[in-house]
Amino acid sequence: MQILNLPAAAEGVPALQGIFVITMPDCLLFDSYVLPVLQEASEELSALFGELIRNNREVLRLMGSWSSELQITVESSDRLLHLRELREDFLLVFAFEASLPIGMARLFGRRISETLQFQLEGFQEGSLEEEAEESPRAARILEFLQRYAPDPHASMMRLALRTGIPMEHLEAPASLSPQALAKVEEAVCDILGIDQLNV
Amino acid sequence: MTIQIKKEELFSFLPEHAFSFFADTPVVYHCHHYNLWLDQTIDDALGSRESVALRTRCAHEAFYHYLAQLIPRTGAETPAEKLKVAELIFGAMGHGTLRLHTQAQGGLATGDFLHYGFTWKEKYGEKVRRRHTADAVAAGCAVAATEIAYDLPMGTLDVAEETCVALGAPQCRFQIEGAKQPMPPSRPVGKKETQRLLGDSFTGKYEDQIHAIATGLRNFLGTINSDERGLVQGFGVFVTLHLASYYNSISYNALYNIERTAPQSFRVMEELLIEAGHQCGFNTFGGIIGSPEWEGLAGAPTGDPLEILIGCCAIGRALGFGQWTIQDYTPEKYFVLRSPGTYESTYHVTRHGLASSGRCYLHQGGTLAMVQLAHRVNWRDKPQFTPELYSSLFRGQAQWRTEETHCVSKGDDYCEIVVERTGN
Repeated sequence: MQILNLPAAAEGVPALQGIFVITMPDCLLFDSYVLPVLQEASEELSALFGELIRNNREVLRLMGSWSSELQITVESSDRLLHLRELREDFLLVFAFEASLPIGMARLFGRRISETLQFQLEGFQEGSLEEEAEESPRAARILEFLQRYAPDPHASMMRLALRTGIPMEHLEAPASLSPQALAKVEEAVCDILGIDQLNV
Repeated sequence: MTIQIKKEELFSFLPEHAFSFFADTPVVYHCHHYNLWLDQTIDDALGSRESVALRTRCAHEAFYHYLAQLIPRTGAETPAEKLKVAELIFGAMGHGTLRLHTQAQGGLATGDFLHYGFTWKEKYGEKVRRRHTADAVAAGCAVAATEIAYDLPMGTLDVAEETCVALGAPQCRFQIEGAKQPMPPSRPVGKKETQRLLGDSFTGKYEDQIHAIATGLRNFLGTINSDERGLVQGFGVFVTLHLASYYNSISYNALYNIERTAPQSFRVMEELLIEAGHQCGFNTFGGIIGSPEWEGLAGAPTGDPLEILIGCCAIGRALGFGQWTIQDYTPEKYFVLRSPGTYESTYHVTRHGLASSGRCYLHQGGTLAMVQLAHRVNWRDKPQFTPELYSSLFRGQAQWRTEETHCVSKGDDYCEIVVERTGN
């Protein structure tokens, strides 16, 4: 379902292969307008794009730099990606053919962002966060695990063994007690080898 | 004295039961997918600290009994010669390069390209950060070899892996010193103990084909040597010749620990042990059948599911898993694999007595993998057995259900796995 009028925003932009609108910080696909070749992976791509911007922010933070609305351009032999933050709660990603000059990609990206900024005014900062909060933290942690665990097909079984929480309880994350949730969080950190979860 | 490791003399095979022994110690071939998954399952069950302790202790025990049998047959007399034999044999089994700089009171051991740490880094290093050491097997071998070299009782020394390649170190280092706590005594589960349990063997359908392929493959495996790193790389996997006792002792010790401390997790641990077998079967059997060597041995796979099942059954035998026989098969619906005993069930009965249900988890997972390879892989496309293929095939709802209907571990005359379509 199209939420924004992305075709209108993309009209007349040459070499454009797709636009992804991603909510931050949960890295979920909000809307997209992409070629079929990118369509199937768009949910997974959204998560990875979100991580990309998050990691770059962390790099800048460690280097003592700061940018209110970060931009990243990624070049490959067949594609040019331009990522722009929009407010604190959206990330826009534009995929172009590699033949487009980088400067043009940035220019088109800025123009489309301005158009979308207007459309996104209806989605006030915070409203998405509240919506995200409705999804229980446990569910988001489990989604995170499934997304990043090296063997996702078995990640829930591993979590059940690590925590001692039966699978059927893990499958109803909203019902987990705070103690169970703490166990889940610790186990997910152990499985992924990370110190803390920012979800 | 010249050290002589005569592989042909030390290796023995029970053809009717398809069990392999090296220096009268049960051995099996396993790939890094199985090895890593099994260790990881023990980590998941016990937590990394207890798991490392258990896995090290089990490797210590298994290698102590093994080297105690092996070293006297090599002509090694001095401690230095005995340590050298341990280094050589460890590398020859595909476990990597281990160097032992130890005395009777302990010392240092170093490891390069150790199978567990090295392959963990290869498989998972870019995906997750590891937080505990990976080379319990090398640690166990190092401490056991030192005890054997200096004629010390098992458990005199203890070992800790201080740096590990899987944690980013350039080399693995092990510190060996006097044990602070005694190790419970144990008796080996060797060839004699295994043979004592074996009943009459039997055959199944397509026996001539299975036997011919298994013999050819076993002969071929006998010619494979480790490379200069002490690793065996082939069929798209890293292969080890491993001590069956190690696999069995870590699995059953951890499983029974879970049964005592978290009985609600018993079944999920069983599922993960079966998954280890499934990963083994899918990746190793698949890699072997897709290899040029297989084409020379049995012909290129045509995609006929029965042909794949026959091939997998032969591979199971050649790897030392037991006398796998096909008893029943209905395409797309039903498959029955039966064996007069497996390296799991014979160990279980010897060490743990009779169980209330089947305990052949590798056998279960391996049989399920056979069916998946037969029915879900397009062999004409020459598939690569990558983690991506695995994930794409097995992420959704299970299409087949597996059950161990009979098991020597629970007093039956044979072990039998039935795999059926779930209807999805």
